[in-house]
Amino acid sequence: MTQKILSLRLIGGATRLTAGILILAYVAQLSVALMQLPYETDRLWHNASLISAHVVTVLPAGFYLMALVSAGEIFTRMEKYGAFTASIVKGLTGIGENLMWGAVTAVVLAPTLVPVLEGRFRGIRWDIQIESVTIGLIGLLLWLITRQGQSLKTEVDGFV
Amino acid sequence: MPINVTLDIALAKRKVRAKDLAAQVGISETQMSLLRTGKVKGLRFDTLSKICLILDCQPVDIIEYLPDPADLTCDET
Repeated sequence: MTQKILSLRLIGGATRLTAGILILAYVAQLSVALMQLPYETDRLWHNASLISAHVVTVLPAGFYLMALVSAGEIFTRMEKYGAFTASIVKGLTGIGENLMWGAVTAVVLAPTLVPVLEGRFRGIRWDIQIESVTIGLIGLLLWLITRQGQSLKTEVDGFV
Repeated sequence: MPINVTLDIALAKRKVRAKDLAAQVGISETQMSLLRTGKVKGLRFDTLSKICLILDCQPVDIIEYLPDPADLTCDET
């Protein structure tokens, strides 16, 4: 049991540490990219559009990192509250939702919003990338599995 | 599913409070209340064993089965 708790703590800590390092790298990368954008003096709207368009394109990675943070939190919750509790279900749902949002942003939101921010709206656009769609589907399936797990937990809770 | 929980009778006979039994068994008062009113889906063997040990009784003193032919066709999960 102690070994199990230790490994959960270790996995949780390692995951959160990795997520923290990746978030720092993500922020640093974003900052560098924002500094290198072709800004124009006295054109506030243009510059704001440039920043927004760039942020939208890198947003999926942010969602994927949030999914990783949720995964780290799950192990911490498992250590605190036991193997399968409502908070873990919530964490797994969080992972699924973040993966789905990341994929939706990559496939639909970014291709639609970037032209809008650049002042040339051409309706809803999508960019079907196999990796984004796969990640989104994994998120959706994880979310659905969590729903099943929730009903299983309700069933188990009926036993005293 | 005609399983009747007769825990209340066993408790009254032994003058044990449900709250105390719940604490000794290691379940919450809410779970104990649900068990006493038969609003649970099942009773774990370890919980049953603890209750029998504490109340010095047999499972038949806690639960009883009321025969119902419909149970053979019942497919409740």
